[in-house]
Amino acid sequence: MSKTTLHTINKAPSDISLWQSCIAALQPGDALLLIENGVYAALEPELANGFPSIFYLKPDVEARGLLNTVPESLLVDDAGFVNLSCTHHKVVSWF
Amino acid sequence: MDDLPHTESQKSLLIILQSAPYGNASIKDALDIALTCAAFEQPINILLMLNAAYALLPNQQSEAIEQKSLNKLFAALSMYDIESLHVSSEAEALLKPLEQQIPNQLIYVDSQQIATLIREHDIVQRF
Repeated sequence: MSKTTLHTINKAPSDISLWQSCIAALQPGDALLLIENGVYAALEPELANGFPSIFYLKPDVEARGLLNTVPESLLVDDAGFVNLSCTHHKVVSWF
Repeated sequence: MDDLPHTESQKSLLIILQSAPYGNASIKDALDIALTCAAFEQPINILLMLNAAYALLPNQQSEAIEQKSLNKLFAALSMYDIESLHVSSEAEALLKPLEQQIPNQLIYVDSQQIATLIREHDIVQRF
């Protein structure tokens, strides 16, 4: 397995230094999964469109009223979360 | 940066510290984990970024807030074969003038090097 990383971030984009550190660490082949308050990045087009492999945890998107903002193909449920974790070499959580 | 040399029974660990010291126990907890893993001979690297760079400031006198000074904990790392610390380059202006007073060897890394560090370790844990 090539050494790609699944990154998760659970804070809203207002946590600027956290988001900057996370984005700087992204490498080609990595994926970024937004969970909890991280899903608010759906409202920031620069972030939402700024990286090819972005996913959103569906229950967190629904809870926050963002279902209309996130393309359905990018929504991931818990099983999908597990799947993402297994297809990458490791998981790094940004919190 | 090459893979850290390790055997089948070893996993390389990268500990990323990013919280300021003393506000919570995360740096102390992280260093306890680093020392434990080192005692079990796992290859370890430590990276300090964002506010965690403040943990390297010398002359931390923490008795009045009833906490152990982190200076002693960082000084102990070399006894466990953790000789150098990676530090994000934003902290270089702060720490370079103080290096004489810091017991650890500091390796400054930019964001691309940090991304490489993350990619090359088996386990990455942030505190």
